[in-house]
Amino acid sequence: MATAQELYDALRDFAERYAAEPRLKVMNRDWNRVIHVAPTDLEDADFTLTLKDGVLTLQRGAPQAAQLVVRADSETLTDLFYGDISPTEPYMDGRLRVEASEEDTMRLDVITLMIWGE
Amino acid sequence: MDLKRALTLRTVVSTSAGLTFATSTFIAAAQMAQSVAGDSAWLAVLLAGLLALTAAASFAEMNGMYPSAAAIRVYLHRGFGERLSLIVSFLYIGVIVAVLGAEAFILSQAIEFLVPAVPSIVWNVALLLIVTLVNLRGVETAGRFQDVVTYGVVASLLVLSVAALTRPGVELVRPFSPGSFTGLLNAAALGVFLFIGFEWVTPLSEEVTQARLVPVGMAIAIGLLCLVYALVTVAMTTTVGKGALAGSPVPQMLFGQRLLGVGGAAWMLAVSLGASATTFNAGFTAGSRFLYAAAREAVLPKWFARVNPRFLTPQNAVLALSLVTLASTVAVYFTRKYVLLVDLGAAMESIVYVLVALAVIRLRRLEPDAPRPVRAPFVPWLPAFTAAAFAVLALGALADDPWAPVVLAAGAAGIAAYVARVVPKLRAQAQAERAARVGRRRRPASGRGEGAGPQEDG
Repeated sequence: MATAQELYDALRDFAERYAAEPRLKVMNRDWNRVIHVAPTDLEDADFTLTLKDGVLTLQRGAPQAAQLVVRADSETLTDLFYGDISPTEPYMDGRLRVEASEEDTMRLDVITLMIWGE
Repeated sequence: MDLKRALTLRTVVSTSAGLTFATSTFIAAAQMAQSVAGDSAWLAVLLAGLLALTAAASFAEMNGMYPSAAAIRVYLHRGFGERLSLIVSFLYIGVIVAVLGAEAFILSQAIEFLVPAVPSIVWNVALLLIVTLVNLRGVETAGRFQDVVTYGVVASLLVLSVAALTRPGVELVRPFSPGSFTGLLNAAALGVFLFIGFEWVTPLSEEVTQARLVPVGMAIAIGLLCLVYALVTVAMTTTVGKGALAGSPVPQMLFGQRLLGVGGAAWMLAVSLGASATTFNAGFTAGSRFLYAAAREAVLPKWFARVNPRFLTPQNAVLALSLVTLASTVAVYFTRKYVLLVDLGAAMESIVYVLVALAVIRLRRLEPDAPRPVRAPFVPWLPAFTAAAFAVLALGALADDPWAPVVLAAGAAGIAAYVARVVPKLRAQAQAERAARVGRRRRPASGRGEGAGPQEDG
C-alpha cells in the first residue's frame, strides 16, 4: 500500500511530465475533463486532475463532478502515475477501474502512451 | 463526487438490441426454419432467447463486479487466470472478425439484389473501405442515432411480419409441433446467433443514469429480439417457403420482394443497412481496441498500439482488422461458406456464455466478499444450467457443418501455441525495455510499501 503523499508525488510527477510534452497540450486543447483519482484503500486521499484548454492541474480532494474516475488500490495508482507499470495490465486483470466513456478511457491511455512511449 | 452519466434505459435497450441485429441473422433465421417441422421455428427462437436471458444474468453480475470495456477479457482473467482469458478472447475476436467478413458479403449480396448492374464484390470492398475510414476517423455512434436505427429496424420488421402473417389465406402449418427434439435443439443452437452481441452493451455501464439499467436493458432487449425474430422467421417461411430461403444468401430480400414487390425489397435493404451499420461499427471498434489493448499489455507486437495522432484511433489495429475482414469476405465470396461462419459464430458465443457462467460460480467461491452491485439469482444452479445448456448448443452448432469443429479447433490450437510461446517473449522484451528506462523513473523501490514516508521530487 502506498501513502497518500506517495500518490500525490506520483500525480505531481505525472502532471509535470504532461506539461513537458507540448504535443499533449495541442492534442487536448478541446478535451476539457475532470478526472477523479480514487484510491480504494486510503481514506481522504482522493485527488483531482483537471484538464482545461490542454493544461493539466492537480488538486487534493475529490471533485464535485467528474467525467472520469480512476479507481484502484494506492499501490497500483502510484505505480501507474509514475509510469512504472502500463495501465493496461491492471485494467485487464480488474485491479484498475476507469469509470468513463470508452472514448475518454482511450484518450487517457493515449496520454500515458505519449508520456512514457510504451 | 458524482460521475456525469447521461444514457437512459431507451438507449441501453437500443444499443443491446441494435448490436445484435445484423443482416446475417436473417440467414441464421432461415437455417433455423430448416431444422424444425412446419412453422414452428418461433419455438426455437423463444428457447434460444430464454437461454440468452440466463446468460444475461451471469453477464450482469460480472459487469457489476468489473465494469470494464474489456468485458470477457477481465471476467475470464478473474475467473480462470490469464492464459485461458487470452486464448478465449483472441479466439472470440477472431470469430467475430470472420463473421464481419460474412456480414459484408451478405450485405453486398442484398445490395446487388436491387442493383444487379454492379457486382457484389465491388459493394463488398466499398463497404469495408467505408467502415475502415469511419473507424480510422473515430466517429462515435451517438445514442440518438442508435435509438433511431434500432427502433426503425424493429418497427419495420414488426410491420412487415404482421403484414405477411395477416394476409388473406395465410395459415400456419404445425406452429406448435417442431418435430424431433434434435431438430429443435439444432435450431436453438443456430438461434444463439440471433442474440450474439446483446452483452456488448456492458461497456456502457459507466455512462447510464442508474447502474441497474444495463441488466434491465439487456433483458428487455432479449425479449424484444425474441418477439421480432419469432415473427420474422415465421413470416419469411410462410411468405417465401423454406426451400427458397435455404439456398439464398438474401432471404430477407426474397421476403420483402414477395410481400411488396420492388418496394418491399428496397425496404428490406434499408433494414439490412441499418442492421449492419451498428454491427460493423461495434465489431470494428471492439476488435481494434482489443488489438490495441493487447499490444499495450505486450501480448501483441507494439505495432498494433500505434495511434493516429490526429484522431487518436488505433490506426494499425483498424488496418489489420480491415485486412483480416477483407480476407474473410473474399474467402466467403469464392466459397459461399457463409453458413459455416454463422455456425462458428453461434458456437463461439455459446462457449463464451459457458465460461462466463462458470466464472460467476467460481468467483462466488474465490471472492465471496467482493462487492456485487448486481447478483445473478439461484447461484450456483442457474449459471450451472446456463453453462450446461450452452455447452450442448455449442456442440449442436458445431455439428451443423463438419468444417466448423475443425476450423475452431485449429484456431484454438494456434492461439494457444502463440500464447504459450510468443507472448512470454513479447512480455520479456517489454520488461527489458521498461527496465532500460528505469533511470528516469522517480519512484525508488525502497520507497514502496506501507509506512513509506513522503518523498521529495528528485
